[in-house]
Amino acid sequence: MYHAGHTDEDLLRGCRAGERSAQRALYERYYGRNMSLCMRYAGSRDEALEILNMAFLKVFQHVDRYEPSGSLGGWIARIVFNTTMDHLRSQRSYRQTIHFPEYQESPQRESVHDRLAAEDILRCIQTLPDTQRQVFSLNVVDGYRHREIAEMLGFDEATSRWHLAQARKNLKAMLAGVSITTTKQA
Amino acid sequence: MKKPQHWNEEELRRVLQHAETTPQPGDWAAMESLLDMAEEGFAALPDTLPAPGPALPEGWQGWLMSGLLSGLLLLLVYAAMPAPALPGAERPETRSPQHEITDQQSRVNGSNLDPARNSGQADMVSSGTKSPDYGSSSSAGRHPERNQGRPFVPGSGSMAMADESHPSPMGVHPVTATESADAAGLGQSILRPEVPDIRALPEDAYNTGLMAMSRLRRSIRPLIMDPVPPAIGSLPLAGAGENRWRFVVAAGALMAFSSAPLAAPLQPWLGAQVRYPLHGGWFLQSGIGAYWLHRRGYYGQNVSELSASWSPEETLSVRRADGVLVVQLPLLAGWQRGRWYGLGGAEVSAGIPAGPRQQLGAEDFQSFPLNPGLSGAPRNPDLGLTLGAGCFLYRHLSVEMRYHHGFQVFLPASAGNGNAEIRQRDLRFSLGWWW
Repeated sequence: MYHAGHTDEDLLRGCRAGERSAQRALYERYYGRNMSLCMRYAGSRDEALEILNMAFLKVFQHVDRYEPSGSLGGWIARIVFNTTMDHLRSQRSYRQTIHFPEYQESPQRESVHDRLAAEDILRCIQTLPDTQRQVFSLNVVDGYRHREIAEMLGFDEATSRWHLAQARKNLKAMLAGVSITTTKQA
Repeated sequence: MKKPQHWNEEELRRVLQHAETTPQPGDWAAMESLLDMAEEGFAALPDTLPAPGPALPEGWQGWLMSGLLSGLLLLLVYAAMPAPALPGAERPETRSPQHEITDQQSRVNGSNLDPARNSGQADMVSSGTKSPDYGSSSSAGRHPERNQGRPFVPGSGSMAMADESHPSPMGVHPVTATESADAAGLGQSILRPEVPDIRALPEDAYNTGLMAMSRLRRSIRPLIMDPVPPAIGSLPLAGAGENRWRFVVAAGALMAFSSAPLAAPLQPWLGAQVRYPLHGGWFLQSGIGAYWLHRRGYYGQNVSELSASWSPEETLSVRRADGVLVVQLPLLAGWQRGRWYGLGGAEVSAGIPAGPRQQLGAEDFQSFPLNPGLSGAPRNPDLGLTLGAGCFLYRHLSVEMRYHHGFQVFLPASAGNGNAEIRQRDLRFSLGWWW
């Protein structure tokens, strides 16, 4: 029976043996940051959870391919990121034709702007239109260049820059809305 | 209206990179049910993707391109197709026997582009029956009146010239109509309208009763009405001493339908094949073909210490394309009718990792694959099925389209790159030159 106190090596050994308890311990250990990564790109928490679980399914199915020379967290994060990118590519073929309404209402949170929790920011990011959210996350958070983003998402660099500008504008308005709401309530 | 207090993107980035989401109670249960379904088989997995909307299907550009190329192919074939003609139907009633003779001579010699020469050759034609001067190369030209007043009666002539009891002063030897057509260089024309085998027709159907005298060949041959040979497909099995092999060198474009990221979905394709005709229009075909396959992907540089949130200053993604030379060995069987043919069969192919490699945006290249598993070697050999159809534009030139369906994952993906695997599924358009 594996639990959170076991080391990565122990959990890997258990995962290779198909132990469900080891899989759960590994899942919960690397859930936090990877889930936040998925939430940066997904439009909802459910979609993010779906991507994360698909990525962990790949992790458990290909755990034999892990080479101990690198960190386990980095290997899992790479698989999660690639799964997220695959998911985005598979969604793009029809999302391009859907009309995205602009953000209209601010999240009703009581925290002040300088003390916004990461989950609040993630919620704001999730309210952005899909392409704006993906470009923003790839460029601002993960540091990809517009040329690379354009290749990943299948449009040109100018479009990537435009989506980033729109994302910044919308996100500023959202974060200001949080502050204004808080001020009015105070 | 109150403006936002500040917009600190660095702070935002830091917060997001170190963000950790708290697990919800049902998250592991969802993961566990996914694991259970995976153990039972992926067929049990639900389709978790949202239903596609009214957008064009994925890969529509490829289908559009193939449709355009197919249309172009059909247009070329249609443009090259001659108007159907019945033997003898093109001959108007009002034409004079002299014109008839000129036309016949032109058709046999294949030189109807020079009317002046044809008119000069007309006087080289004489009636086939016991002309006392037929052996002289210029007597007919000197005595055109000898041909006057003799009406043209197809089939009324005889092969008197072939009679050994009347030896020719020039050593004329008997020839048959088929030999005459072969000698005229028309024996293998396949673009002529389909007619019954000339050897199955009675002599009256093609013997004009006229004889043609050739200064160049120093021989006299009987004129035949329409020396259309049978199509290649209706020829009998190759006989002893008859070389029936045909060779083709083909070049064209290969359009890949793989969902994996390729540097270019359209690649040049080259092939050389040999065809051996069998009975009844059937044939066997084999040879070799090759094309370049460029895999495209991203590599992460300096990301060996990659964590769940990596720093953009330490991470650099570079674009890279690896080349794989794919060599194909098809074994095909086909059937030809007229100018059209269809073929199909098995094809074994093998990939050889080779250059050129292209990369952008990296000076120091110490990395490991990030996406989509470019380090994987091709799985050799790859067995697939090939189906195709083609058309001869004329004797030496053909256009062809083939679809190849490889059965296995030719280039596997690394973990976490499920849709980056490459299968050999492609359309090939080619032009072939035959000997």
